[in-house]
Amino acid sequence: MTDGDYDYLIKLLALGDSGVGKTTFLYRYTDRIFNPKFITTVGIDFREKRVVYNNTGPNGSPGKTFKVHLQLWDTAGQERFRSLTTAFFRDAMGFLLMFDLTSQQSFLNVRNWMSQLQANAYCENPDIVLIGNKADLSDQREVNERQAKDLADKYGIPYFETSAATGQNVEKTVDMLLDLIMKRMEQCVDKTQVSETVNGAASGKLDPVKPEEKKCAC
Amino acid sequence: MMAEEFSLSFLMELERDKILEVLYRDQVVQKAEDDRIRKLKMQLHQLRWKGVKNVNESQERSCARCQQSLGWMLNRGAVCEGCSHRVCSGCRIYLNIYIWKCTVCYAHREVKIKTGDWFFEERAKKFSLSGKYETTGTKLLTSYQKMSNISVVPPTPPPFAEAASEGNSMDLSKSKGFTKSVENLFFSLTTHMKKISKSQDDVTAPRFHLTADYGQHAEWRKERRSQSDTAIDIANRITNAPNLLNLIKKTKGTEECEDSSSKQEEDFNFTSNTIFSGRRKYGSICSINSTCTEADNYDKTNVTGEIELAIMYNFKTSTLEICIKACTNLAYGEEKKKKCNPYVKTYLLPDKSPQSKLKTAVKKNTVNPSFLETLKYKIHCSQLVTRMLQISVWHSGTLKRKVFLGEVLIPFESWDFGDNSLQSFNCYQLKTKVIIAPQNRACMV
Ligand SMILES: Nc1nc2c(ncn2[C@@H]2O[C@H](COP(=O)(O)OP(=O)(O)O)[C@@H](O)[C@H]2O)c(=O)[nH]1
Ligand SMILES: [Mg+2]
Ligand SMILES: [Zn+2]
Ligand SMILES: [Zn+2]
Repeated sequence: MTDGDYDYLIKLLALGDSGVGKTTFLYRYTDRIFNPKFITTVGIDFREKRVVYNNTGPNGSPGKTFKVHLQLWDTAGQERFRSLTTAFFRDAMGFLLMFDLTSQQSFLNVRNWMSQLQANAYCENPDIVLIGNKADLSDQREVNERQAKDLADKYGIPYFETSAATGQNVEKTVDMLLDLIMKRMEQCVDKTQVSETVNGAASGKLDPVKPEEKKCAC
Repeated sequence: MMAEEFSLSFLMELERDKILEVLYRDQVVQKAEDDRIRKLKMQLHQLRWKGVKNVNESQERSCARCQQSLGWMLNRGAVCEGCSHRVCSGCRIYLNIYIWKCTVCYAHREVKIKTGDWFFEERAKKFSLSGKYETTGTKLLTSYQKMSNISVVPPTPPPFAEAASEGNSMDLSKSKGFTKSVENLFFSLTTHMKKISKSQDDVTAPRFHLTADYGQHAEWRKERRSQSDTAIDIANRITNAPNLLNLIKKTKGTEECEDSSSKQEEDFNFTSNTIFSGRRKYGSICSINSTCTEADNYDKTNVTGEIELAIMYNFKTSTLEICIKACTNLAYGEEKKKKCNPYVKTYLLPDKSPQSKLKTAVKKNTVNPSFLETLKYKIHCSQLVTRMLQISVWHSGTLKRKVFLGEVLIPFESWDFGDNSLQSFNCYQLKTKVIIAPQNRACMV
């Protein structure tokens, strides 16, 4: 797993209250099994997975496929690890913000996690998906879908209801996040290259004789 | 009462070990990534260089990318917005129906995405980190190593004072780069742990730094607890250290004394800053980060060739057996003299202590040595998953000079010892030592 034969290294990070199912979710995603044992995450951990990503080309034409190496960081929700875990936020390119559908409290804390993210993630508005987990426990549900959707809309992020136990929506959720990140990568480079071009054009007017000396060719 | 406190402090120590283990695994991922990025940037560099050469060579109007001559009326070419070079229509790649880039600018864009540069650039706008590419994991490990060093500075010079001070000065010069917050963070983490085990006894703080095992050996831990510890004590343990890690026993007993002098030179050089536990344990990372003399050695020779070996695990005797068959097409250890006296050395990482080191015999004057030797580690299979076998090939020169000829890393994390295909002989391409130095990554231009 540790060879460099991939096109992208994408680092995702799961966060949310302790016990909402982050570890189980990631385990489900990477190994496709439900591990019902409750093993408290000590501070931080990560799992890895290689996936193939299909990029849709311009105009939605079928694009290239890429090998993506996913590093999925798991964090402990407990307060005493907070300073350790939040330090890892800034290395992640996308976030799985999770609460437990059977715990109103974990849902209320989503706001706090959002502000932690805004403070510690690599930018002010990183790619995030909101996840209501344990959807299989419908008889114990404390958070309804409308509530959660409204909150997600408020933040402008997608919302999924998942179950690490049955696997419902687990892959779909990660795929969605991956999609958002891949789009952002393109936007980021094209945005900066456009501004480079603008600068280039401006200086080009001042000094039009030496086009060879522009940045690109150094 | 005592038992309760014991278990609590035990837990904290395990926690610290657990976190360090995660950080160590992360370094493996990071290492592969750095390797990949370096290759990508190299490719781009070559592509770009080709273009530049063409422009300089020809005075006439021609495509900057493929050098096809361009007309003044027909087939005029067009100027790429990215680099302002004139290129023919064949050297344009369209992002959509309106926007195109020349092949080099397109490759530049690809590299920027694939290396994650887009991310690091975004992040640099928000945080002013010391190293643009540095990860929290790497920072934590480095400051942990530094802290272990500072807090266990020997009161009197131990026999290997030279090595120790070398490690110190190096760390100090590097320390400027670390952000205060991360240092504080790890400090709070460690003091937090110390505080909890403080009631236990008064050697807690040093013990925190001195634990060298993987936390499974309660027996040994207890014994350690009762020892008073000073740096000298550690020093002794490292140089003699027969009982330090009885987890791993050398089954090949003879060579230990045979090369005691070379050990001084080679290992202390290599692990000049791995004297203390955290460093010894994660010594490989530390040396990866450092710019110590040994690292320079890695650059001098190029790495070629392959090594053929088989790895087996004997469940009955709990031994890991590595049968080193041969190497082919090695680089010369001394290129000018066309000299090569190769031997193979293994470590069961993260343990970089002498106990973890095994070696084959030295073969004289050959770049295709045949060894047919089996190196054995006594280790329980449950511990093996956290280990990684480092197999390096060295040239043994005159005056005990060692030259690095290449290495192979084999993690056991997902190794299936029931799989027969893995147990038979396999050829592995020798790799260069990857030196992680995120701050030094060539800047994208
Ligand atoms: N029924 C059900 N239980 C779950 C689900 N996800 C996690 N759990 C259980 O919830 C508990 C806490 O999960 P864990 O992954 O350790 O939570 P973490 O603290 O967020 O990492 C464990 O006992 C899991 O088995 C789920 O989707 N459905
Ligand atoms: Mg967990
Ligand atoms: Zn051309
Ligand atoms: Zn161009």
